[in-house]
Amino acid sequence: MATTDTLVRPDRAPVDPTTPLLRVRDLTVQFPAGRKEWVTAVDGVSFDVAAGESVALVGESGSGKTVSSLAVMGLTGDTGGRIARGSVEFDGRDLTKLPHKQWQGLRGTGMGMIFQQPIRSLNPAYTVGDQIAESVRKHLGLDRKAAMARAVEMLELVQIPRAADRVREYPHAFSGGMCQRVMIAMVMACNPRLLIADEPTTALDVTVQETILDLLRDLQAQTGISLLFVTHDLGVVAELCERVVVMYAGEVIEDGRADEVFFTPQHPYTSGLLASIPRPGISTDRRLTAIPGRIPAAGEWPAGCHFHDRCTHAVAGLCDVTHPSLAATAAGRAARCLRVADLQLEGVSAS
Amino acid sequence: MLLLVLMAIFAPLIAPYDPYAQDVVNRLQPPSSAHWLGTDDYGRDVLSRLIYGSRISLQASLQAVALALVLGLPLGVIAGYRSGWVDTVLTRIMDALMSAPSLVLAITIVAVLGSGITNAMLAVGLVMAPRFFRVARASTMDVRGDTYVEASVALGCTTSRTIVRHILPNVMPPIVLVISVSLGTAVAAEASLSFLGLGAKAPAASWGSMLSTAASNMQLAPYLVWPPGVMIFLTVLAFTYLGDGVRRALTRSRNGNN
Amino acid sequence: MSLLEVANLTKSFSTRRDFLGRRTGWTHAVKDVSFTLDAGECLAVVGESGAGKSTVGRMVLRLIEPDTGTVVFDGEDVRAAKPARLRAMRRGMQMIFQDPHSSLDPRMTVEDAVIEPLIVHTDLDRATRRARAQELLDKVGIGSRYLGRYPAELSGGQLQRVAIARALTLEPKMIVCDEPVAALDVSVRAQVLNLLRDLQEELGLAYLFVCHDLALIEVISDRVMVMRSGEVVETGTVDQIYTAPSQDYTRQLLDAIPVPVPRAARPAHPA
Repeated sequence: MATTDTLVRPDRAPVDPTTPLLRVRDLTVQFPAGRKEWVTAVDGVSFDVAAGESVALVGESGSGKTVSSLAVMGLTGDTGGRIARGSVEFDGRDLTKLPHKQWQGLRGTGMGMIFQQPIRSLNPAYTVGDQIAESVRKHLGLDRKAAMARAVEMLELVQIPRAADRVREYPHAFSGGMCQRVMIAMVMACNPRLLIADEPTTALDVTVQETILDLLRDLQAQTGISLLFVTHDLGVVAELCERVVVMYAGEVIEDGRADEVFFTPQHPYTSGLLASIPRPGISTDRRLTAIPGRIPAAGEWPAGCHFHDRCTHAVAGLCDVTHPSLAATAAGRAARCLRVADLQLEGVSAS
Repeated sequence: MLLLVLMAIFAPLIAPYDPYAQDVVNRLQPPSSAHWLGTDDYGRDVLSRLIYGSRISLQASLQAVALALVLGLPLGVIAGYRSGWVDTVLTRIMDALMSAPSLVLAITIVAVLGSGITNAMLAVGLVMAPRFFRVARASTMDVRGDTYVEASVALGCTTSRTIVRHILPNVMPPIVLVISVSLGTAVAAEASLSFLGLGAKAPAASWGSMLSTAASNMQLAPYLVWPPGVMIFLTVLAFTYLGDGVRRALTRSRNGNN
Repeated sequence: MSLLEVANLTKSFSTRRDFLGRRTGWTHAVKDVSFTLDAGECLAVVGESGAGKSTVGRMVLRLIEPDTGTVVFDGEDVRAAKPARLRAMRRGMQMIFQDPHSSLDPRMTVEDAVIEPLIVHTDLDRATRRARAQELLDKVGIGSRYLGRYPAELSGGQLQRVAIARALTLEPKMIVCDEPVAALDVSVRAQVLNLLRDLQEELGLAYLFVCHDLALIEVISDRVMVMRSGEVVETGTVDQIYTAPSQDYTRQLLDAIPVPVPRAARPAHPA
């Protein structure tokens, strides 16, 4: 399509694992708790996103996935927290060492973020076109006319029909799925290289979700953008992502290629999560396998392995005492489990 | 913390000094020496009158606020819960009450009822009722949409139980705030009315009337203005701090451990 | 005769008024919906947002007044019942809401919440009530040490169990579940769904299970009713709907369920 030429990068390289676009190392984020005390929400998180790759950051509430993604965007301070240690390297530069303004500048042109409820991220008082144009003018310095043309172009990119007309409409005229497309358009307008999506489809209907996922897939194919997809929905992960980083209670507990993690998980939590997903036609006795217990809140993480008190494979004296580190188990795979060598865990079946 | 300190200063003033004020029934005595704050035009000890005046102010403001509460809160909750024409009618009445300049309205009411502190506080209470009404109504409308209210109906609760057990407790926090702030306002209102001679009748020692006599004796004893003036100021300030502290405490408990 | 018989249920909402104050802009939330529910059965009402499924659930309990239609529960006409009679009828039909954090009064302890139905409908003394609360909490897997806690101190999964306990207090015959696990974490959903299933088997409860997630339905339902834009699209047993849906829309919904198997590894899609 001619209209998207400006976004297609002729020099788009295939996924190159040796020079990751995003390198998060030992990221630790804390939040204030009472006077002069800090509680750790995310502890020593490390993962990579290569250029053109789509990586899923998977976890439930309290896993730290959203906190981590906000930290990558440099929004930790805005949420009241602080990065206690660690680095976030984007394109070789450590963002945590940059002054706030520079990190802010990078947002938009380097990386963009879309959130769960798009209607909340859009200003109801301005037209959709104005909002996209404003973002474009600010980051790319285009004049009004060019910016508006860009806005129309973006709406077409996200497959909104009659883009030239709809660019003049206000957010309330768009449905949930359409709003999310508008958000994607707004973020893509400045040519970012990394798109962080935090539960973008959770609030949408299933059929709409499918269309958004298709759109993201198309965008990736067309523009070579990298995708960091933060979600709790493993089904969505399977649809879209090549690599999976699983988080639990503030830590990365498993990391690997999607098919490897889904079929042969190496951490009991991952295995348990996969087993608790209802799949029509699969569960014959119609009973779901549930992980007993509940997720510990930040500040209440148990000693030793964070998961041991819910783990059916935990060994007393080992798992409740020693805190496992994230160890590489194969090329491109890692798991945080003391028993990883012994366990044969069940993943999903391929049928 | 500040509010606690101020209230602590305040309370002993009322309690232990009450017998003191009773003791020193020197309100109608001729001029004498060694009075800390001097004496007023009737030779009464200003300090004791000041202390005694605090009782009047507090009592009066409590009366007024109580009336405003009794009027405003139930009506506000009913209006918020029922909506429809009941709501519209009540709101219009309260709007009308609120749109009149408060002091003028109070004066008018007192003029009709006759002066005297009880009537004055009746007027003040009436004037303050709309703000309780508004807060109660807004809060009720807010809470009414909460799922647990729907759940209580689903359980089979009667309307009165739903209101009393579910809506009211959750409406109280902002109401408590309005109470504390209104206490301060009522003190100032009482003082104003007494100053104008519409409130406390002589020889009762209201700060407002003390200010009035002080004003008329400006030439002879200018310092007389200070004691009652300062007391009014401090009291209103104390109540404001109280309100602020209450608000902070409530917000903390609401947010749990966050 | 079925436990619940619903016929021609209709409801419209208006959001606007014209300049004269009359209502305009009617949205037909529910159009002519009819179904039955037998004792001990679980009927799932599925659809996307705006399908009207929540409204149907609430109309069955008369939390929302239907515009037209009949609702007969246990042989009695729900719509015609006078307020006092309706309140008494509510003993038999209870509801569990989507967000446990807002469906439980934040100022009431767990114990207070669970025994409230007893206070409203019976005059059991305090000791008996407390014993019943403990019994119910045990049944749903919450220890009695939570009796004195407030909702803010419990997790979503625990709170939903408390809500379930509260719904069970008066031994109802039917529970309307309005998206009971949508607000919960994935790993907790399985726990709560299993609990609901176990309770159904143990107590012979009938469920009207409102849910947007087709994947979940199979675990707990016997029959399924698919809704779209206020109308019933299709009704059938779970097997029928999943293996041989007769309507395109149903097929669309089924296809859209994300399958947790990475794309590259999927076998060829059966026609």
